[in-house]
Amino acid sequence: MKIFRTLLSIALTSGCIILLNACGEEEKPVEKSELKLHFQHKVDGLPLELNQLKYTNSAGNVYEISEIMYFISDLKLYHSNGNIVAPAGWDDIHYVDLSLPATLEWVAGNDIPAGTYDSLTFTFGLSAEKNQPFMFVNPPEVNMAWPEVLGGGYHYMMMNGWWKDLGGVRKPFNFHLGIGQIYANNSGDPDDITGFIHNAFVVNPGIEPFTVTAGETLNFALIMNIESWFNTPVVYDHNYFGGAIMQNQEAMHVACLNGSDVFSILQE
Amino acid sequence: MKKQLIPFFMVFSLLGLCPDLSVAQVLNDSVIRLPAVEITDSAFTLQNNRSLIGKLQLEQSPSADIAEILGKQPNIGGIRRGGYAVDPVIRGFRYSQINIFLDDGVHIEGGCPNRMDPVLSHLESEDIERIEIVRGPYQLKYGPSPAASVRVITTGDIPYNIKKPGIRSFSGYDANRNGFRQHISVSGSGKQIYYKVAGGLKDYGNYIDGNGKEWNSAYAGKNVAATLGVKINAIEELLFSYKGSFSREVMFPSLPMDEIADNTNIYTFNYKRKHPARFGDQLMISGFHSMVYHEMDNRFRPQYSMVVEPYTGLMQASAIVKTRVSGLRMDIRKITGNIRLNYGIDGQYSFKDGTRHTTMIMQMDDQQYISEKWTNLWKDAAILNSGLYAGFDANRRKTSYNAVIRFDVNHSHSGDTLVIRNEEATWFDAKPETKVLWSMATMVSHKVSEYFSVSLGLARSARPPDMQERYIKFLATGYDKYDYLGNPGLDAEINHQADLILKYTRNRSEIVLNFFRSDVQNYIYGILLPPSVARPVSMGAPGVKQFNNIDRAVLMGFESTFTTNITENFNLALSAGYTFAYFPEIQKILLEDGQYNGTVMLKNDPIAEIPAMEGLMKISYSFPEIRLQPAVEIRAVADQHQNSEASYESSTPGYAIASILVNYKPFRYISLTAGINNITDKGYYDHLNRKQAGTTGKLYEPGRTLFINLIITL
Repeated sequence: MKIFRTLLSIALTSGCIILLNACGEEEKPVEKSELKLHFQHKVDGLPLELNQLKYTNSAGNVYEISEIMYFISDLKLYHSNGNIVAPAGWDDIHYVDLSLPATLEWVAGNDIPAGTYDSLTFTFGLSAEKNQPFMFVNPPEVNMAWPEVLGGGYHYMMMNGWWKDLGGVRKPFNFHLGIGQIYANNSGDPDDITGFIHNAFVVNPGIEPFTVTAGETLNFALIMNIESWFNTPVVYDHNYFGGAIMQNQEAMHVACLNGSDVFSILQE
Repeated sequence: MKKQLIPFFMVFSLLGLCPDLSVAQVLNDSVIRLPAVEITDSAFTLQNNRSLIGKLQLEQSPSADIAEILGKQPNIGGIRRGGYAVDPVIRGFRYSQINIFLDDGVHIEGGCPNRMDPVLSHLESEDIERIEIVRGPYQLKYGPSPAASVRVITTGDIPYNIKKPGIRSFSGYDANRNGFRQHISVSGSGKQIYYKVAGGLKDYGNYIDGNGKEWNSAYAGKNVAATLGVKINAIEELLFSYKGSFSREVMFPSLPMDEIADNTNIYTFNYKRKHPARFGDQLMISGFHSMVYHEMDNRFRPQYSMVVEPYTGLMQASAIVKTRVSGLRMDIRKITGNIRLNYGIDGQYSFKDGTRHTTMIMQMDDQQYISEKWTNLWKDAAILNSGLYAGFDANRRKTSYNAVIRFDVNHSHSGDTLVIRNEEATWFDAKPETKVLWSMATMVSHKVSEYFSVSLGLARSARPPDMQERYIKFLATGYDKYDYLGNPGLDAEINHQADLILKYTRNRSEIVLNFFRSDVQNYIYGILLPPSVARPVSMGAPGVKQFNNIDRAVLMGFESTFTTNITENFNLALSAGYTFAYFPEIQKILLEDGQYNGTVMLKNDPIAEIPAMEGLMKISYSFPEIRLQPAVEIRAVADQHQNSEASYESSTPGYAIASILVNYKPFRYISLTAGINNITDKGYYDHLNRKQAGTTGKLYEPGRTLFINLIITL
């Protein structure tokens, strides 16, 4: 029995040692500078109201917006010393969806060198290099897939809504941007596609110089001024381009030209 | 709180530490002693705390899944992904950390990257004579064995000169799954020829858990086997065998796909030449070739044929993987005085190739668009391992020793053309790699007194990275939903292990305690990659993890068994096991609203997916006059709160379940086992059970079931 008691003690002691070892310790994260972008969507300076047929563009189209989804990527900060910082080194593509509040905030970087920055740019959509098919496999991003036959990859943007046509009929529009196609004889038939055009473009929202201090979180409001898609520099007319533009490179080209001044930015 | 403590106390009770149980000793053989266990192994595994599972135990089990039967052993758990093909975990080690093989080193490379077909799933329990489990890297003869080995013996000593052919039929029924299996074998022998032909089928439906929920977990399959033995002369024998296993429509509710077909073919030969004068001296030359064809897809999932929100299109995925393993071995045994020597060489070539096909069918602007993509899972990936081993065991008075050393040259290459490189680093580039590895194990046992003996084992083992860890490309292979990316440049895992085994035997009662500690260097583990480097390819995968070497991991714990015969016919067996495993230092990815927000280093963070402390009690009583043996079994598992913070792992509640079985042998030719598993129909799950695909809820274990196994021997 003495030996049995010894064995019992060994078992219990070992058990205690094992249990005492069980507590994990966490090291405190080091101080870092963080950049957060908050996405806002406005029409004529006021917050967008979804599903309200109350907006009018420069072409005179009365329209409403029902949903907006888009990608921005390749965010760059231009340091006053000439360096270019890509703060979103972890994930350089961000998806924005009006119906998903979590996507309206982007922790675009958390280790930004201190200093003064002159400007900020990003790519609206996905560059030719990045826009690879099957790059996303989960919703919501996967639902942005652009058909393989039309160039593949992903939509840069889906902005869906309605407009009143010349007869006063409320018609749907799918203002979708992505890879454009060149058709033989402008047939619009996918079998006649002879080439593709990457329509993604770089946006400089015109930020004022700003300073990053160690340990500070920088908050910026990145505002999409929706009316600009239709107004400047080229007037976009739904009655001319119709409701679906995925296979209409001319319409997408106009949209992309207009996209260059769609965004503005404010430090919060 | 009280409820939470109940399983914990039950586990301790089952450790054999309760006073009322500890005084109940004495008498005959314990119930868990296995009948007709034949020890034919060499110096390499003797004296270790080895678990044996015999044919009787296999045939009395309600389960057709060998890994589920293994799970009854202390400190062995299993990863459940469906109704079949549980993946064993021994002392917290898993996958290729456990060397699982047949007979004299026959290896199978599973096809599925999701591990739908772990090695044991390719085998039928009816074809098995016994299973030997060695905890720790002490069985080095059959390949680099980092942490544990499971040897499945399908062919024992060949019985020549039995004139009358024998026919054996096994029938099994499981009421919960409405499952049936049938296996028939015919064998016979003459003076110089032995033959055995066997075949079987199984067809199991979905199981229902203790809460009444039906899980899509059906499986079916067929198998055939043939063995031909030739006794060339008094000292030479030749053996050929073939095993084929063909699974169909095996459902895995915790995986994104199901197994549509899995065909396994194994060919072996074995030549033995014994010394005519010196009993025990033997030359053996053996070889094998195993092939696996594995096909899986998501045709039984809703998103295959209908739009499932939040998707806006049909998502179809399929994959086909083919593997081959070929091996040769020459093994020599010699006895010199009281020293037994065993040495030899082996070589093994493993090959794997697989492709995934993904289809997305979308409806846009009133048109249907189909996008398809073919990607390699493996591209002509191969590993050639050549080994040299030597060992001895010896006895001197009250002390016995054994030691073994093994050298391996491990060469790997792949036909992959994928290169992932950015400004910072090269993340994937499948260049050929050659590694020279060495492993060594020794064990000393000393009999302290008539009743008490102590054994100390020390080992250093090196495990080369496996095919998955080196070359897998974007498939969810781990416990989480992340896609995994191989790393061709991985270093070998080095395990330094110590085992202390205390054995006390008196009056037909026995207590065995085995304490162990493993210190693993270069532990292979998945580290999250930035999406800017690699994005997931599998539906539902939140990101990509790449296999990397972690500096250090520590695993320690114990197994204990207590067996006694309370009266002549009344047997009691208790066993328990526990592993605590942690990383001294590990990186945690911080996420904010699902977005990356930096990293933090954690200290002493538990390793994910380690089984909770568990205990098993089995009581049986024999009525020899009427050839009846009823038994009661209680399994208790404690809460698991040792969760990996770095892996965002959550706790699992403990549970206790009871089962009964009765073995009845009315006639010489018939043996009947019937029982009820999970009598109280408890709804429960193990810590290692995977989550149901698309949910955060774990896969539950089967609820109450009635099972009947009937064996007819003619």
